[in-house]
Amino acid sequence: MVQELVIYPDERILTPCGDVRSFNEKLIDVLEDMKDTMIANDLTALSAIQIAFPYNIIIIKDDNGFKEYINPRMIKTDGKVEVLEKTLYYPNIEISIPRYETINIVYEDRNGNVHYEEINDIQKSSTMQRKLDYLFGGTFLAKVPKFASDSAIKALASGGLIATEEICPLFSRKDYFVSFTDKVLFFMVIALGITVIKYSDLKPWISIGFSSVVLLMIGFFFYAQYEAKKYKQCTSCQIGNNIGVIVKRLSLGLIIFAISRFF
Amino acid sequence: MARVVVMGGGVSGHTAATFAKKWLGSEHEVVVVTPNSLWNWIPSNIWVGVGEMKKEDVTFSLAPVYKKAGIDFRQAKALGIHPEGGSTHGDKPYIVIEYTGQGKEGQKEELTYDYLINATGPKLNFAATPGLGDANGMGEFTVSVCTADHATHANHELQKIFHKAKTEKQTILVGTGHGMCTCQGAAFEYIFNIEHEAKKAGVRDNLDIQWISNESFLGDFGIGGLHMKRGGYAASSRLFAESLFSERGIPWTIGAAVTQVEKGKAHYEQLDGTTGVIDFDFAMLIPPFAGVGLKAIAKDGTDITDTVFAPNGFMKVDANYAAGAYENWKASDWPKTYQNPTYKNIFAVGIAFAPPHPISKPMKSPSGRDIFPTPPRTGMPSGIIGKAVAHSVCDLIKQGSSAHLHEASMAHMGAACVASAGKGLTNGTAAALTVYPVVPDFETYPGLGRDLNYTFGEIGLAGHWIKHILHHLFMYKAKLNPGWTLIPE
Repeated sequence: MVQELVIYPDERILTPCGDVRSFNEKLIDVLEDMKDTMIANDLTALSAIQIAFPYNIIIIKDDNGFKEYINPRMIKTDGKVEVLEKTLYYPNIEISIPRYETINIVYEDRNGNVHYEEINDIQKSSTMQRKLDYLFGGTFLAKVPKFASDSAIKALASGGLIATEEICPLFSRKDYFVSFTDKVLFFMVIALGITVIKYSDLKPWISIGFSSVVLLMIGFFFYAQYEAKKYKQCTSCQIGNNIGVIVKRLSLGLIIFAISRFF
Repeated sequence: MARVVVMGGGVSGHTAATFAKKWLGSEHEVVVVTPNSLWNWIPSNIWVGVGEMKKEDVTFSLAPVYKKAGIDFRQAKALGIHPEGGSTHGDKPYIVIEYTGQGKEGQKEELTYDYLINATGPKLNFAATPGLGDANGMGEFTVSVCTADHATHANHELQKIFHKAKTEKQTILVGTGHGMCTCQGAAFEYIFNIEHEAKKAGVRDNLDIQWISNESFLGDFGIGGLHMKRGGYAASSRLFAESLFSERGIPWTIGAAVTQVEKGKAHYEQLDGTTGVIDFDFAMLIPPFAGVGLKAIAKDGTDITDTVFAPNGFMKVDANYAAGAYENWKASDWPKTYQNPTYKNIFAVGIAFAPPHPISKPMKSPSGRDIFPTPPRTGMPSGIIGKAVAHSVCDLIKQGSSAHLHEASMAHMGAACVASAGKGLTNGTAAALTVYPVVPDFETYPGLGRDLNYTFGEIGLAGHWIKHILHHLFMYKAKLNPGWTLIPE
């Protein structure tokens, strides 16, 4: 029976899928429904969650017909490549996605027998990876920077977009703000010590230092926000971390400044 | 006066013994038999393994703590259980112990009990993989962070690698050392702490850091993966883990059983039957766990080890060991009271109890080699189980054999985990995760078997602070300092 497809913005696509445990009539019904749906919609691949069935099932159609992959696991990868992809969930969106060139899959058939397959055809490999992402509660937009996914979402109404890809940098420029702030704080501590032992009154310098810390952290905040939008995949770009960085340094600067006022 | 004997002084045994003594008071006797003189907060061993903590920071001497609590401490290892008694004790059950300290090293003794709590933890089964560690876990080719001493040794070897990496390329391999290991989480924490320390030491560019594990997908962690509800939807631990590994530049080999280790080489077989070799200069590979090898002897002297223990050496409890294939597994297979089905005055807690089956999907390579994680029973669940069993034993002593037994099924229990990805007050990172229930309940929650409304995950500096605070809290609690009972397991 042809089933209704899960299409954006239907969020059921984000449901993580469970493993198939029983290889029974129910499974066969689902597999047949998936094939019927693929034929009716002229599809070459489908994961079960795309018809709102949250289990680890993928069907890919090739020259030999429909091939069923139950509980597939990608255990080996080789080579990296950018693939221009489309998917049914986001109609009219075409976007460049980082994928592995060759993958090795372990899966079961409808009878629960285990099979192994090396997929080195780039189209089939990227299709399998895209369908696997669905099984784990993600779409291909999770693989691209946030600015690209935002652009894609905006473009859905107007039909079609090719976004460029940027990878997460190993060194973030926002760290320059943090590094410089730490140095200012270090000199503020030294200035405080000199002031406390009454060797010299460096309170004006402490005030300048504190003002600098405030300005640097404001700069850090805005630049970090820019990077968080640019590099969606970076877990270190989360706003919680950025706020933590700011709060720590502002607190320390404020404490040094406040103590200096007593001397 | 009843005597409760606790075999083992780890997280679950210590929890069971201390609560039992608190609830039983001086009217009854609690004896702890453990071969170690020190208590070890194992989750912090990964920090010892990178030199961020010392052994003294994660251990303390048990004797003064037990003296303060009124617990009879025997630094000894248990050799066997005589649950029906024997010639010298009549029908009174007893265990045979052999001292490892207290000036009685090597002396054997028979210790009678009214109730026995088996909390021996695992035997670190290095011998299961040729070349992996040695009997002490400090092998010629690989290191371990399973104990504080192992972790100290691991750090010693790691610092040599960091020193070499100042001038030449070095390869570090971290993960699981057998097809059926558990504790992927500890290896996960260790690899990211190494990566973090390498950056601090300025040698990251000269280090090739690689991951190898028996998980069929990254982020399985031995519990079939978990899901972190963020931004209104649940993200799989696979996506989270792959993102973290990619971001830190750590390639991974998964679905792999390490089959043999040689000097600088780890041989492995993957689920698809292919084999490979990873060259390394430093390797920390977690060993598989097994029961500690206790024997059980009937009153007439016959060996009843098979009756009391499962084939893997862990103790049988009130679990369904006949669940069969994966499709038949149910949450109700998992034990609730941890009472031995044959001898009702024996309980097993923590790693010592035999799980009915794995949690992760069982998988085999074409050669028939099992390659999948075995279920973890450490950390928060083991503490909760230890406390529940202590409660049951106390009620049995005070109310008699009709007393209601307390339940703590891992299928009805949530757990929180804070996984460190780098230590540092200002630049540390950790992932804080919750999962409910630990063992998937496919009947209540079809599909994943978990309630996504009780899952949470976040990574960042605050997670590290939580991990560090928890270290001090649990050390404080384990030392039985004032208010220790207020700190949850």
